Amino acid sequence: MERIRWIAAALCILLLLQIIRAVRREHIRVEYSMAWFGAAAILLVLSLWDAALQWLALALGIEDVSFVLMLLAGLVFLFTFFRLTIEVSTLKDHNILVSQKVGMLEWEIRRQEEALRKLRDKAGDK
Amino acid sequence: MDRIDKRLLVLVPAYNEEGAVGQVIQAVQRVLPGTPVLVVDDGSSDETTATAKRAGAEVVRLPHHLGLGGAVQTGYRFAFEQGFERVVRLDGDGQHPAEEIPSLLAKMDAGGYDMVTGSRYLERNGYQTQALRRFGGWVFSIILRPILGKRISDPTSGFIAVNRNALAVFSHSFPLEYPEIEALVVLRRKAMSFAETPVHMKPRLAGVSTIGSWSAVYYMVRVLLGVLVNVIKYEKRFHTTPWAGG
Repeated sequence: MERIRWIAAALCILLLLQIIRAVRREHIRVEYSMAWFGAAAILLVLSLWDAALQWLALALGIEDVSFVLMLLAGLVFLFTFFRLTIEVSTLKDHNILVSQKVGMLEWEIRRQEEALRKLRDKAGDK
Repeated sequence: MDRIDKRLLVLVPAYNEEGAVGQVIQAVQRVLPGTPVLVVDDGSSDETTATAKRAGAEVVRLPHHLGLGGAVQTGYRFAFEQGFERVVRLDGDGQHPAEEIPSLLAKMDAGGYDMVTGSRYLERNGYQTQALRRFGGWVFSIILRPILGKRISDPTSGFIAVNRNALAVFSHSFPLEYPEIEALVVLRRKAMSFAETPVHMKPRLAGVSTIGSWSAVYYMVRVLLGVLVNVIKYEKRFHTTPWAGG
């Protein structure tokens, strides 16, 4: 097996270990770790399973099997980044809305407190 | 705010504007006595909130800095939810003269427009911006002409009056960064009407512009992309956020 595929396999194992560590420490939520687990597992299998990679190279019409592995890695991570960018954009939309609601609710609470204070003052005067 | 006529709200988005926001509020109160003024403090680290309250404004303070678009949209959302019919937005740095608010409203009433923008370039008097910024505004007005269907002389002006129709749109959909130009495209897509009226702007009373010379290129690219995205935008995107259907 070519050296590049051993390196790819080692990097995938490192990535898997890093994901497990991040999930255990709650740095990544489980639902977001799934894409990374899937990507690392697929690339690990392909880098170690010679027949599967050869078949894929033949199907894609690419002579260099290592290039197929790199191409797949690039596509898988591109897809993962794209999916996460959508998640980040959605979260930002929600964050803006929540911040705006918090600001308006604080205003409302201040207004209610002020009204309550005036009522108490009036009651105290009587 | 309970006793006051709810037809008009003056909105002042402010970020670290303690040096100018008080004078802006007082100027509004001189021109339109009794009109509620709402300052949206966009997470300032200075005394903007306290200064605005002392000057007699209502203040909505955001828990963290959202950017100009986020602050302005907070004001629009507030006005819409509180039942205001019209909102005039002016910047917290003192560049937009409160004395000109009646002319914006008069133009809106006369033409039945959904939005009226105060333009510093329709009549070349009053404070003019730097040459680079004027050039940028000119480039945008050329690009926007076929999209908007008419020429807008000052597309970057933040001195704006909107009615309740526009409030309904902007409270749900408003750009986060450099919102003025994209807001025009949003209105156009909704088949709403807008116009400009000449105003005499002033130099800022304090603070620094949010658009420095280094960020001008980013500004141009960001706004052009925003305009393009708004032209091709999938309408359903506006209604995907929770609680947005107020």
